[in-house]
Amino acid sequence: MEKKQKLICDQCKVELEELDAQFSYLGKSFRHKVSRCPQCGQVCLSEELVNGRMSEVESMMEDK
Amino acid sequence: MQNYYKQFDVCRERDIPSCADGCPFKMDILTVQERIAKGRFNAAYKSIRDCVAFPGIVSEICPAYCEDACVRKTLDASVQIRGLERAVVAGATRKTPNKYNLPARKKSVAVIGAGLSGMGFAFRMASKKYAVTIFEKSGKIGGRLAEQMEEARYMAEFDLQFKNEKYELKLNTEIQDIYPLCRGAEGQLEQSADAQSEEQTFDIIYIATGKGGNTFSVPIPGGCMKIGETGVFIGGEVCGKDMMHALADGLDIAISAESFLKAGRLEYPEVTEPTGCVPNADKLVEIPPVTPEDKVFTEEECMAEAARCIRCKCDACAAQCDLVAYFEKMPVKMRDEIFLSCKPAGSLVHKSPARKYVAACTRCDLMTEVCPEHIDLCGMVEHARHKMHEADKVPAAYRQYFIRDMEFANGPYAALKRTTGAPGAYAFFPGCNLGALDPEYVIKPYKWLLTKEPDTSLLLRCCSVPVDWDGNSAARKEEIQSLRQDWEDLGKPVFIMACMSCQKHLREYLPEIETISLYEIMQEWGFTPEAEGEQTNFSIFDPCSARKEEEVQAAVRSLIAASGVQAEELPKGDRHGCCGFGGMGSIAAPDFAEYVARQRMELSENPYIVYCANCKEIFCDRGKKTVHLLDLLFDIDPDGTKSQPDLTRRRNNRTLLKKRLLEEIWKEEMEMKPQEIQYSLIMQDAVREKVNKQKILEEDICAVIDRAETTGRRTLNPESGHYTAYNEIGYITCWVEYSPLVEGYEIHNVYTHRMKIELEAVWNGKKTETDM
Repeated sequence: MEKKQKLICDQCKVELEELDAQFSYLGKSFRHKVSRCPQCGQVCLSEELVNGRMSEVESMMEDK
Repeated sequence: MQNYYKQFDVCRERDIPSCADGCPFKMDILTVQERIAKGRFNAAYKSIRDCVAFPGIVSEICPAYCEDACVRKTLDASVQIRGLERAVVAGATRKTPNKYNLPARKKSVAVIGAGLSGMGFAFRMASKKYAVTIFEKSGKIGGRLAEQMEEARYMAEFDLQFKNEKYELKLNTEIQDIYPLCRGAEGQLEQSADAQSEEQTFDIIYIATGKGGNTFSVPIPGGCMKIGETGVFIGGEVCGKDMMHALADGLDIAISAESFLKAGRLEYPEVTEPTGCVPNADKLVEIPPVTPEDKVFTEEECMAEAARCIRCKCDACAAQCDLVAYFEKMPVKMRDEIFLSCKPAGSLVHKSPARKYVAACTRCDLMTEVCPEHIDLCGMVEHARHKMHEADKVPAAYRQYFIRDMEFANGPYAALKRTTGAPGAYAFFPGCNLGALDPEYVIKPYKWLLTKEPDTSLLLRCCSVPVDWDGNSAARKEEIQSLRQDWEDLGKPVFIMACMSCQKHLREYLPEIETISLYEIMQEWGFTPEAEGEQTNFSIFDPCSARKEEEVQAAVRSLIAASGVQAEELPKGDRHGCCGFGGMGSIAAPDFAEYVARQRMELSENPYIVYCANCKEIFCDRGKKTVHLLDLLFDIDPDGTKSQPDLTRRRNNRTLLKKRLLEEIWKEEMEMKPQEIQYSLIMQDAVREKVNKQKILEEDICAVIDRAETTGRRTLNPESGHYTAYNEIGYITCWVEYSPLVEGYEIHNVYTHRMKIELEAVWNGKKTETDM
């Protein structure tokens, strides 16, 4: 994996940090560390995460 | 659901092949063949011995019932199973039985008669370490074996197999009465009461006295009884069996005897039902049998002969049903999973393992057709969809695109219901996808229909099959009702259907509406195509919904012939599944939908002629040259290579179709302005394809950008200068990476997920605002 790119929250003009965010799907919720603005909490998910791990988890939950 | 469940009782998946069924020992011939085919002779020998006890004897004298039952018998010649067996017995290098250090058992067993059956029984019991005593009235063992093979050879085989086992042999001992041998039979034993104290008694007696032998009044056939505390069984040639079945009896009864000793159950081995295994006829191609150069097959000859076996098993479902093949689950397993998944909400079972494939099934109904028992897995899936919808087990993200698409087709931008004056006897029902590909597909045929029957009405709308895929019973009822209303409004005309799937759906739920395919009408009303005389050789791909629709198929073929195009049948005619369009597979299990499409594309290398808009779209999108019959007849896309419109263009086409029809037929202006895309979006082809694959519309992308631009909620990548933002579109979250241009936006990437980001949640120990 290449080095995490620097991302900036356009609203707060601060750099995003790796912070917990909560997700839910099919009635279950869970937390995961993602890029998030430390001020306003805006999240930014990379395509790598969405089409990788997230899609895996979605598929797994659908099979359960 | 119970009715569907019960149907699977007759599933033949586990039925053994007919060779094994014909075998007295029910030998697992497939496993033996497999081992032979791999050159593993010692392993094959072990399999055979485990089954027949004395391979050296059986391979010699068995009349090979298996070869008689082999499916190849009527084609070329049966697989020479006995020849292979002999080669294994001759070629195996490790024949000495393994020695197991088992403790001796206290129970004792008597065998009356040292023929093959008795020896088989004695062998099994001795290997279990029971104390075995064999009584033989003559002076040697083997019984009638001597008539069939050399004594030295079968004696050698007995010695080999009994190498690690002990038994007591009492030759020249004729048993006159079995009561003295029985334990605790005092009451029934008046005559020989005194004898009992001296003689040994047994827990099990096996009577195998041979052809015409003494039965000791034990009932035959299938006799077993309890005398005192002793279990007495009878079997073998005394019951009128031949030698191989007699040996099999001895081996089988040994199992019953042990169950009597252990659990006190006195049961004769059950007679099994004949196998219902239906081999896959496609695998049955002629291969001449191998003739051994010498008496016995060599290893290479064995392998070649074993390779002729087609490994019969009932797998019509796995061979034909895409769902069974792709998900690698046999129907019985699917049944169990579907049953579990249909438990109502609130039940203790929370699992729905069938969720994905139930949603993905294309409902081509081929499985029920090809199954020799016609088990209705297809119907069960259909039923399960509704049950699962009721229990709220279908992820909303599955249905979202299809339902939105249906709503659009039935909405003010695309739906149209018109008569051309007085309600006519016919109404053209093209289906919503035909015009979405190209408005010409609807306009040209409709104009032609009007030249023949000027009062033919028109109904543009979706047939509502998506709510059926979703299993939404309530919505289906509503949609069907609205469709019925439309039909009544038009004066109950005969619907001329251009889409076979719509026709199938309507027939199922609105049987009161008379339908006929456009192609039959064109033939009936005398359509004369201009003969093109194209050089390409096509194959005709009948949509799964037209399977067995002989009249439609005939009409299609005569129209093709009239247009002067060369077209041949696919190798299996119409016996194939869906093109991959049906069901919610493209979202629920995209890999499955892709697999199905590829399977259908590979049926022939020829380009296809289809008469379903969905088939055309699926094949063309994957680069297979495919023409719609209407392409040929009305010269719309006769090359079949035009790239198919993406989702946004499809919507636009529907609107355009409505607009053009109103203008050209009814000389009206469309009241509603076509929806316009809010921003102009610039996308590379690769991005556009990605957007299309994820079933995202340009208006969705605009919504993401709109939200980002108005709220400022976007992140900037300072290196690339791209912004990333997201928006929830119903049940999916759509991410867009973009950069603003002077006019509009350039889209660099789009991706979606189904999980919801819970923004109001507590994060990092701090409470965030909920309105972000």
